[in-house]
Amino acid sequence: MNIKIPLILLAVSFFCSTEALPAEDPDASYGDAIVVSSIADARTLVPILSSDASSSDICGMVFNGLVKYDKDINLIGDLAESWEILDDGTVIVFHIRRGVKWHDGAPFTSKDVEFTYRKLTDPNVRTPYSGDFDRILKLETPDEFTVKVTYKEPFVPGLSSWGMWIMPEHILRDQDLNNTAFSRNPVGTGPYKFKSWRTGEKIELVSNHDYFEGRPYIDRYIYRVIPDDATIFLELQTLGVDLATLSPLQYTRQTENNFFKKHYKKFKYPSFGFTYMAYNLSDPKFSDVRVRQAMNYAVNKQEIVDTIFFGLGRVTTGPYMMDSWAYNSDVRPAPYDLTRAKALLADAGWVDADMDGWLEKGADEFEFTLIVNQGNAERQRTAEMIQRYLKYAGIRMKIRVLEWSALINEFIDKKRFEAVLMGWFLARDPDNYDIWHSSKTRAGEFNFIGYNNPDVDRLLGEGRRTFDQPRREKIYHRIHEIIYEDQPYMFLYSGETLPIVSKRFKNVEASPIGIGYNFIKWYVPKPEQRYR
Amino acid sequence: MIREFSKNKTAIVALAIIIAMLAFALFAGFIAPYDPTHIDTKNILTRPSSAHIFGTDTLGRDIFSRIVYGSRISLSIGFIAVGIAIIIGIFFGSIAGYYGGRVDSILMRFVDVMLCFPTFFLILAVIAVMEPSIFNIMIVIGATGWMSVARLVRAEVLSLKERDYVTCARVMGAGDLWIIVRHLIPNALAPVLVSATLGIGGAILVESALSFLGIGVQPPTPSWGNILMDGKSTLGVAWWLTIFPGVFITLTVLAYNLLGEALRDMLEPRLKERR
Amino acid sequence: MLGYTARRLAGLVPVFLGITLVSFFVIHLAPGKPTDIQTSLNPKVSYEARLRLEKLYGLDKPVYVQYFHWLKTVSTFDFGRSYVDNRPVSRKIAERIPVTILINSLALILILAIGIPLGVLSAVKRNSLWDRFTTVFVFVGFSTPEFWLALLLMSLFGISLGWLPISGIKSLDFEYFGFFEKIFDIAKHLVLPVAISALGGLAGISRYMRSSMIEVIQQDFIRTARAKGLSEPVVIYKHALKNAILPVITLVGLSVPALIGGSVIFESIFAIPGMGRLFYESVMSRDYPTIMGVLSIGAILTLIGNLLADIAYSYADPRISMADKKEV
Repeated sequence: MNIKIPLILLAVSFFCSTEALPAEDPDASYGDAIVVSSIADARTLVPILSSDASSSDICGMVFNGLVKYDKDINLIGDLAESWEILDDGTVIVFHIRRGVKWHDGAPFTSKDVEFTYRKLTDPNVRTPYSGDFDRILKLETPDEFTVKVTYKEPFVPGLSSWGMWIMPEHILRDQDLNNTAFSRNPVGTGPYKFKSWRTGEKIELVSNHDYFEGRPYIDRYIYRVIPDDATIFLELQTLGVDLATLSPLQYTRQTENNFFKKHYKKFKYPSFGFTYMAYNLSDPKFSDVRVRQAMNYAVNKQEIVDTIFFGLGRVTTGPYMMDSWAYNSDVRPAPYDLTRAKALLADAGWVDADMDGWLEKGADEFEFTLIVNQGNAERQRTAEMIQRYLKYAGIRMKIRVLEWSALINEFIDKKRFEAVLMGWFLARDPDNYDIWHSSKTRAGEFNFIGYNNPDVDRLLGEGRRTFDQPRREKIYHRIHEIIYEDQPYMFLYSGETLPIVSKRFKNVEASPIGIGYNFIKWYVPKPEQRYR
Repeated sequence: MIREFSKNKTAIVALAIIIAMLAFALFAGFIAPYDPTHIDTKNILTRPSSAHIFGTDTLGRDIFSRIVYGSRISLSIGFIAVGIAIIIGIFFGSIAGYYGGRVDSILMRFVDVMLCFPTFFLILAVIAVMEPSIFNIMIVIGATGWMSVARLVRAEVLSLKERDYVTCARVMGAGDLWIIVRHLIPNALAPVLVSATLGIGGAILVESALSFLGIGVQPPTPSWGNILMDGKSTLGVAWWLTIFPGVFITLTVLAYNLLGEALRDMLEPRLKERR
Repeated sequence: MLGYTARRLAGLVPVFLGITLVSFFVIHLAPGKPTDIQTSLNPKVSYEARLRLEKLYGLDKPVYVQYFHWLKTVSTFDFGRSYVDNRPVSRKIAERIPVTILINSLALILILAIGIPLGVLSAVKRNSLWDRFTTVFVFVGFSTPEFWLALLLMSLFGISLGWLPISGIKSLDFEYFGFFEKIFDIAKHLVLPVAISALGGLAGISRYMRSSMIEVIQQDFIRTARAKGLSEPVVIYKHALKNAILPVITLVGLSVPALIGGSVIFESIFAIPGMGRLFYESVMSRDYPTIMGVLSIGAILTLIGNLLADIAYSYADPRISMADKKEV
């Protein structure tokens, strides 16, 4: 996405830390550097303050959480070796990995975890992540390698929230986190150590030879800020960039030539987000479920995917990550069916009485404005295609493009909108209470459409309390069904992430979680190494 | 004067280009072979051919038709933005020049303040926080471009107001407003005309720069800036998406600049004699 | 002279206040808050967390209170701290200024080095084929959308020919280079950015030079010089040029503030971390202290630049009395 959409911490740490591969490659050799391109610079490297994609990219290399996701998106230990869930899920006991050292040589202990927790819940710290941790009743450290977390009530997403990066107590103890040199000179436990940061230009990391999962092969990690995507693409053509994310157009058309085949390898995996058109449900036009269903039939989503994404994406039907266990694949996308759409609209009282091509109900024409944020070309094109489909159905849709901040403050928060085209980035845990629960409709909260379904409310509450996986799966499948039936959003598509990596890097593999999961095992054979 | 103009070949060519572009804008409906917003998913990114002489874009829309309709938007931004600048500029400039003294120094201080803002910064800040509609873009470009006009008009008025015919009008009991509107402004228009011609080109460029940042005219409405910007993402596969709008912008802006220069050349001696 | 300078300096204060006041209110009227990027529509950020953040930034106070607070800190030469990363604004600006000034001054030198001769030649050979050609040439440079030209030249010199690096200001192995390698490396990176930004500015200087020269050539003392039998080159390049270049001095003085103003478009395309991007990014993230810092420094430099130009001009040309100068 071009615009800096706030992202969920876990969903964006592109290079999650890594896990050991079974067999060592005989060619594997240390050395060389990887040049990664990014549209934006990082903002702060204090892990609990970082909320943008770039800061998260870097923090993900420098820090570790207690837990992490493996390549198949299962939760596994990172700094924690194991954990137990006790007392019906109100207590989690983490057993911490021994012998882990901070980059400055100090030992990592449970005190660091406790410190991180205290800072996350300190009202004077500017962290946006206090929400999950405010549900903790108390956190105890019986010894150096045990952390006992007690929740006020069972809270399933609690475990994954411990993917939060842990900060060193011995360095930050007496510091004001909002204002510390640490934000530009971080010390972590991760596979790479911070080396230098030239604002707006590049951040450089060097490999941590003492990393607890083994020394990474690539010695330097260079994060180059190139704000324009056309420039990034030109840089790829001069081999100035080793890793970049392509647009669907670049993936399908611009990189299908001998040059790219010779020098690069392309990957694709489903992105962790989806795009939707949300209706303001308090608007009389959209309060009728038949109208929303009709519009769902009237828009040819597959054609949108094929045209705008060159087929690199899928039509989605619900608010969960496709391919994840929570996603109910029995919910089939409604076909493109203009006749059915018109029939439903007629049922709801919308007919073209004056034969001018546009629907009316009494004196009112069916006309509304879709707002969309500027800076996201794919999304704007989607809006243009929806406009065309709805025109066929007799609905006049106008498009209004707004800057992100204005869109949120003036239109979403104040509920001054009819429909909006947006996307959610998803956390791996399917709990999205905040998006659908009827209590979450205040200004600035995420149920901005005013969705209210008592069944969904009840199921959402159950879902975050139920540790039993099969039962939990049923709950989310049911929510998925109900929401698709209710159509508070028109679910559109979920795209693909399309990284391109220089061919000199070996051991690069795509997996459900992306390509970065085994980054410390990537290497460049000696003869092909390019940088010192 | 017309004879002088007809001798200047560059100016003639420039004028011809300007007239051709205006014709595009006025008769867009007749000239454009397609609806500029018509999406054709079967014909995405096709090369220039007899069906689509400038090719098609990422949604299969006809580039030529978009450029023809885009000329409407881009030229109206140029004209209206400059119109706004001229009206504000003449207003402040003539008042400052005519009344002089304290009014003059306060107004000119204000001009100083406005000039201290880096113009593009200001446009950026305002457009970024307001909605990037065509209307807002015109107003902002106009509202940040009037200061030079005000200075020009003030300087002209300062010298004109001491002329005999003005004194004469005053003696005969003409009011201030009458003198300003009837006698001073019309005679101060020559340098304004030059500055306006140059300003139109400038405004078209500003629009394309705003489009680059994603805060120019927003799709589906085509403007030269956003067509060009759209092409940036296809650099390397679809040269026709960037070359055609780029050439149109450059030619048009160039034409206005050359015309402005030619006018200046012609008007300046005349101005000097008057002084 | 001193009195005049002091009076002018004092006169700058209200202008400066006016500028900051207008900017401050324009920026604060804008919808959105600095906390938006961090909080809005991020499902991991709770409602309470969001309110807490707003309070920590002091955004719950009225705008005029915030303005006076800002003014108070600025009067001690402190622009406060950025909302984005909490670093001192002065540091952030200091980081960006060198590269911006480097590119802009190189471009300015290039513009003067090419623009002045072009203008003089055009004036001397007024209405010749050469004059027409240079006119069209400098205006083509001025009329081309900068980012379009930049991308075209980048593909040409960076990819098709492979002569020049595309973006950035240093190679990635820069720190391992020797001294001359370093200079050469930076020079290579600067060719395209400097050339493109100079191309846009050529029209202004060369046209200015041309008209100024034409005016001088028509004056009596040139005719006298010619009548005295001085050779044409001496007349043109010694007598006329000396006088015609005066207004150009003013123009250079006026472009002093432009030296620190970067272009966001240009810097984005070439991936150069300069002032333009800093300003654009702060506007987009509603980083009020940084926006105000950049604008204030720009304003101060503009005001001083104007003043210096006036003073320099009056030294160079004693015919202009201080009193008259005020009116022009």
